[in-house]
Amino acid sequence: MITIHVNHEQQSLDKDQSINDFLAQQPLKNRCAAIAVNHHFIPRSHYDSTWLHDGDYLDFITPMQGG
Amino acid sequence: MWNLAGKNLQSRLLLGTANYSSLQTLQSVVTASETEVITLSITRQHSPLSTENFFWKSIKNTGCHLLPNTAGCRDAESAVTCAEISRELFNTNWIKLEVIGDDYNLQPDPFELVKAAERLIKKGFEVFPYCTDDQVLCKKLQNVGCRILMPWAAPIGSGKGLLNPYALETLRQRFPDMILIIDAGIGRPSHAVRIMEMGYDAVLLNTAVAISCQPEIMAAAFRHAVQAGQMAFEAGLMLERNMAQSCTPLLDTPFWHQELLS
Repeated sequence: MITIHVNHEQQSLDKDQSINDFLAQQPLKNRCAAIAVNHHFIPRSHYDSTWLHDGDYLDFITPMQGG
Repeated sequence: MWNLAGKNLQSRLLLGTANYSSLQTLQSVVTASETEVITLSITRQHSPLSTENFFWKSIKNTGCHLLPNTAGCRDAESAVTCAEISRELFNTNWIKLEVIGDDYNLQPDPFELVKAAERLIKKGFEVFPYCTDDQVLCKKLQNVGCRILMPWAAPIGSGKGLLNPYALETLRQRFPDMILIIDAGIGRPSHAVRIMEMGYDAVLLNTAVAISCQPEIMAAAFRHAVQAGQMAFEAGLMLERNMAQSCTPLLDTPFWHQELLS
């Protein structure tokens, strides 16, 4: 069992897993989101090869209003 | 019709999407302004993953070209990261590059701005740098490959209008082949008219419309202002002169032979 921080909320996972595996288990309605792990941007093309480990911070980045 | 970084546009008014009271108001403003380019930003998601992003849904429905910004960045490193995230999110290589150097007037940091612009252009971005009206800075941005400059008229959100008309006119003269868009400080439609009369390519604004009592009407006012200024520039403004000159031909008017007033 590992613990990661998703948008600053703790979440438990059975084991280390790729971002793609993690996403497959999420009830995502917002398809327009980028991902940063430990404050580093992860391009979509790297979701399969980037693994989440115990203590990682995963942030979803989404559109917002701006001038 | 004009061309902005490969896109043919009718409108020369670019609009920010912040500070509106509701998404419905924002949509009405976009419609009233007839803008074809809107700016937006990115944020860490704070709501649960299952929450739908209504802002994004609303923005997609406008059909406008998207110009994401790097608001909140204070150095080249974070601005480049922000731009890369935006490129993936919004599927565009356009980036409104903001690298802020001062908290009081939100003045761009010229050194980090040039550094970020150079790196982003090498990565294939079309950089829209938010800059001051400093000629040397603008030249350096041009030298690193920027085809567009977005100088401020006044600090962001101040509504003060053209603080340094001389500098803005000089920029237009010194950079005749660059796309020049005034990006900040516009408070009134008359400011937009004046900018466009100078020969600027477009105006980007947000606050003046968003905090108006009737944003839809203000958006329309700015649409007309930008059009009026552009038409006046194309028509050719008369030169000022000190001596009055009657518009009406005086020869053969009933009293044309009277003594001239001294």
